[in-house]
Amino acid sequence: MTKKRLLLAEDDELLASLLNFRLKKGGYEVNHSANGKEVKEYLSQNMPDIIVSDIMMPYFSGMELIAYVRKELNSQVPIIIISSAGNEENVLNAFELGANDFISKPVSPSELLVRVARELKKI
Amino acid sequence: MVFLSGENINDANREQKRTTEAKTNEFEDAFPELDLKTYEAIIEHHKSYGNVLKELEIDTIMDKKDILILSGKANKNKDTEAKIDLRLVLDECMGEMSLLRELITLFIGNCLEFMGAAKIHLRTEDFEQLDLAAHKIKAGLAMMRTDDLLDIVIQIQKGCKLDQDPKHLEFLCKCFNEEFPKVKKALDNAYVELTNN
Repeated sequence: MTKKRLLLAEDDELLASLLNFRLKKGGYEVNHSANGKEVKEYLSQNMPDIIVSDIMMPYFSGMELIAYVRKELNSQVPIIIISSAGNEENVLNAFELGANDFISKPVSPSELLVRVARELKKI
Repeated sequence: MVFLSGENINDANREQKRTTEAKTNEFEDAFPELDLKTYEAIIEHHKSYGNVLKELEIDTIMDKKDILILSGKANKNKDTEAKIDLRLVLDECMGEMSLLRELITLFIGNCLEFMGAAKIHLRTEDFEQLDLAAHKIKAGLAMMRTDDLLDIVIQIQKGCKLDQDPKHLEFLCKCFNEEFPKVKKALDNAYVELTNN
């Protein structure tokens, strides 16, 4: 069985290290990008099965990423947004732009794994 | 009684005395366990030498959280040092000690980076950037369960968004800088403890 490809867009190295490890252990092929430029470059050549992205990212925010994927790439790939607690306005905007789900910081890796699996099941 | 000065109060300022007493009672009701060291730290913080209670309005001058931070700091000076339990973080690392070590190293690097950035942003009074730096480090502090540092960073963010008082923010950053070595030591101890077990 081929592994599902997951793009993790997160500039916080600490969180990214933990999530990268847990997602790989969870059976995903993870591609990690720490800034928006890398994300855009990657997406212009590859389309993962699911995207997990922080909202606040250098060069290319999570919001811009959602708009780019939905409008320019015209893709319905599931997108899960990582947001800071108390950032409800951003979360609502993300949903309006086309995000499928969100998870608040501090992120529980186990919860993220469940959310990722749930979104992939819907496809 | 900590708050009463020995100054003579004549008839003309009897009203002032009543106000001061009311504020003293309000203060002591709100913070019954506040000790002298903490009180002195508040005075130091506001540079209000003299009868500070004349001006004291708890809600506006100082957030309760600040006082709790100070209080915690004063209590720690007396006896305990910071203690961190890394078992939950290790569980999230699925027992991988090498990953835990990597996370601790990244965490320490992030804290040092924040301290450096905060120093620069305070100097230039760039509160937006200070807020952003605090925001960036917050998730890591929560992840590593370093609650004392997290409390301070939340206050820094609040200060950047609301009053933007450079003295207050400088004070909070100083609290962070003083707390960090204790947290680092506690992290090392917790890691050694886990390794031994």
